[in-house]
Amino acid sequence: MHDDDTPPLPARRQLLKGGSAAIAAAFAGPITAMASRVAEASCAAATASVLLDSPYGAPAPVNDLTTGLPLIELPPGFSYKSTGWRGDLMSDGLVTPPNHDGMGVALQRRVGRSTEIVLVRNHERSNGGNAADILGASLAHVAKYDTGRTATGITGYQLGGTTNLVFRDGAWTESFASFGGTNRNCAGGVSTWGSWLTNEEVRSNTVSSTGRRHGYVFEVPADTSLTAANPEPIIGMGRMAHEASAIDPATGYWYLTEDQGNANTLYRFLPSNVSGGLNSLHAGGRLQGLKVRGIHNADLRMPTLCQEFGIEWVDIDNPDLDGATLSSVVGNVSASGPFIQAYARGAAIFGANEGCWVANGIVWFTDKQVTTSPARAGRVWALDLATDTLKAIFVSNDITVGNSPDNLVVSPRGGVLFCEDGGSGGPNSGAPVTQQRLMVVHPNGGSYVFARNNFNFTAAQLAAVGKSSASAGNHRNSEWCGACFSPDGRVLFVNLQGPGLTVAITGPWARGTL
Amino acid sequence: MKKLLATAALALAAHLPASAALLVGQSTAGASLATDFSTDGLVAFDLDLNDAQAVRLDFQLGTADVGGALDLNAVLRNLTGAGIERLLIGLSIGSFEQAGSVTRPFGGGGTSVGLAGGSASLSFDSVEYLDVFIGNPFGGAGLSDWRIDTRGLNAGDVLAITIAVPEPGAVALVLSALLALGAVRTRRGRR
Repeated sequence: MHDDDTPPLPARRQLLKGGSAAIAAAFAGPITAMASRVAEASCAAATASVLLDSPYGAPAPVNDLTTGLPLIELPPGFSYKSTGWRGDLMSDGLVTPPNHDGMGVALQRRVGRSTEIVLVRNHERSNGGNAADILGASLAHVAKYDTGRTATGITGYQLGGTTNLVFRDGAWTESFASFGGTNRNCAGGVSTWGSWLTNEEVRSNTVSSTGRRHGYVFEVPADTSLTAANPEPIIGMGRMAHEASAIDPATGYWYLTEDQGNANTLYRFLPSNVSGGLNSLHAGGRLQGLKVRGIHNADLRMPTLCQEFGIEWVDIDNPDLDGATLSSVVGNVSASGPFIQAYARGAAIFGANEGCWVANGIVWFTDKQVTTSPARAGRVWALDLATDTLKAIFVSNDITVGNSPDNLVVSPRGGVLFCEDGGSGGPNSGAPVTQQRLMVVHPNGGSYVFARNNFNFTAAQLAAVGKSSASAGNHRNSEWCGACFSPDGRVLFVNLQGPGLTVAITGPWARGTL
Repeated sequence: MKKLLATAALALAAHLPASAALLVGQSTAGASLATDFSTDGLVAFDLDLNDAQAVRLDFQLGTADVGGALDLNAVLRNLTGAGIERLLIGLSIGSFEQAGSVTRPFGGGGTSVGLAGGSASLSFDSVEYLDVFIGNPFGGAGLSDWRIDTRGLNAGDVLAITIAVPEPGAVALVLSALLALGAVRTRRGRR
C-alpha cells in the first residue's frame, strides 16, 4: 500500500515553545540565501564534487584557550575553548564519560544579564560488565532506561547516555549527567521546545534482563533539574540503528536517518501530537520511509552531482518490528524492521545515512562512505519539502574531497558543515589521510576544509595541563561529531570523539560561507 | 542621518529625577540596541552591536549618581560579523576617574586602556569576534566596575555615553566625531 495522502499541514509553528528564549540570528543579509544556493548547487561539467580552497584560509594549529595545547587546526582569526574532557569531574560529582558523539543546543535563555546556552551531548558507549558504569548509576535523579543486562547479542549493561553542558557568557560553567541506561547514543536532534532526542545506534532483537529492547529514540530536557528525562523510548520513531533526527519547525514532522549498511532509507515521523512539548512524541504517530516516485527500491548509493529524484513516502505499519536478514536488490543485508517494511513498499536504498538537519524547508542529510563494493567516499543530499525533490548536492568519490560525512549542521547563515568520520580507507587520489576534518559544502557543489583534528599528545603533555585522565596518543584520525551553532551563529560547538572533549569555536565567520 | 531609537523623551528632564540613572534615549545611524540595567550609583547597560555605527546612549542622572562617583559596567555583544580591534567610549559630562576590568571571554591577548578626561580608548591585542564586558556586569569575583567622576553634576543632568568602533587607523578621526556626538552639554552641565 502506497501512502500519497500526506495529512494536512498544521499551522506554522512557533520556534522554541516552552519557556525558551527566542532565537536571534546575527549578521546582516538573508539567512536563507546560502542554504538555498547550496541546494541549487552548480552541476555543470561535473559528476562529482571537487576540493576547493577555503575562503577562510588554510587551517593551522591553534592553541586551546583552556589548556594551551594545539588540539585542532583552524583558519586565521579563529579561537576556541575546550571543556568536558573524558575524565573531567562534572558539577554533579561524576566523571565525564568517554565517546563523545552527537550534540545539540537544546536551549538558549537569558538569566538576568547573562546569556546561557545548554547543550546535550551523547556518549556513544555500548555495553560492559559493571553496573556501576551505567551513566548516572549513583544518582537516583538521573533517569535511566535499562539497568539490566543483555546476555546475547549486545551483552552486558548499557553504558551509553547523555550529559548536559552549560555555556554562559562565553565560558563553560557546568556539566552534569542527564540520562543513562542506553546503548550507543550516536546522534540525535534538538526539538523546538528545549530538549534533545538521543538516538541508539544499534540494530538488535536482544531483550535485556529487565525486558528492554534497544535501538530507540529518547527525549532529554535541557534543564533536568526541572524535569528529568523520560526513561521510556519514543517507540513510534522505530527500532533501528538510529542516527540523527531533525524537526521541521513549519510542520512538526521529524526526519530520521539510519546507519545500517546498504539497508536504510530516509524516514519521516508525523507525530500524533504536532503541538510539540516535552513527552509529546511519546503519544506516537506515523512512521514512513522515502521512496523514489515511479521507481521501486531505487538504489541511491551512487548518484552523480546534482542528480534529482521526485519522492514520496510509504507507511511503516509496525515501527517496533524485529529486524532480520533481507534479500534486497543490492544483496543479502541485515535490516531493521522498519526498513524491511519500507523496502517491501518500494523504499529507496542508501549506503549508510548519518547526519540530518532541517533548515528553510530543506532536509539535509549525509550518506557516509561504505568501503565495500562499490567504494565511495560520501554524499550530502537535500530534500526540498515544497517540491518533494531530492538532490545530491555533494558527491565525493575521493576521500580527499570529503571522507564519510557524518554529523551535519546548517549554520544560522545557511552554511552547510559536516563532520568527517572516515579514517584512512576509501578511494584516494592524494596523500594518505592522517587527520579527520570539518568540511564545508560550497554552494557550487564543491567542498573546502574548515578545520582539522590535531590531537596527538603524550600522557606527560596531558598531565602538565591537568588532563591526566584524558586519552593520550594520536587521535588525529578519529571522528569529529556533534557540530552545532549557537542560535546567533557566533559560536560553533563540536566534539572530538577519540580523546573525548568538546570545543567552542568563534571567529570571522563572515569571511566564508558558514 | 541619525536614527532616533528613544523610548522616553528628554522631556523627562523637566520632572523630578529618580535616585538612579535612567536611559532616556538611544541614537545611532545603525541598528544596534541597548538595554538599561542601571541602579542607584551605577550606570549599566547591555549593547547588541549589530553594526560598526557609533551609538549614543543618554542617561538622565539621579540623586544617587551625582556629587561624587558613579560606577559603570556594560555588556557589549559583537553581532557585526566582523572583528573589533578597538573601542572608544566617550562621556558628554563628567570624566573617567578609574578604569575597571575589561573581560573578553575569547580574548586570547590583553586589552590596553587609555583614559583622557571623558574619553576612554580600548585596544585589543587580538581581534574580538564575540563579547566585551566592561567592568563587572555579572558580579564575578575579582572584577571591578569603571568609575566616573560626577562631582559638580546635578540630578537631572543627562550623561551621553557614546560607543564607537573605529576602523583601523581612524582612531583620531573617530575621537573627534565622538566628542562632537557626545559633546552636547545640558544647561546644568558641570560647574
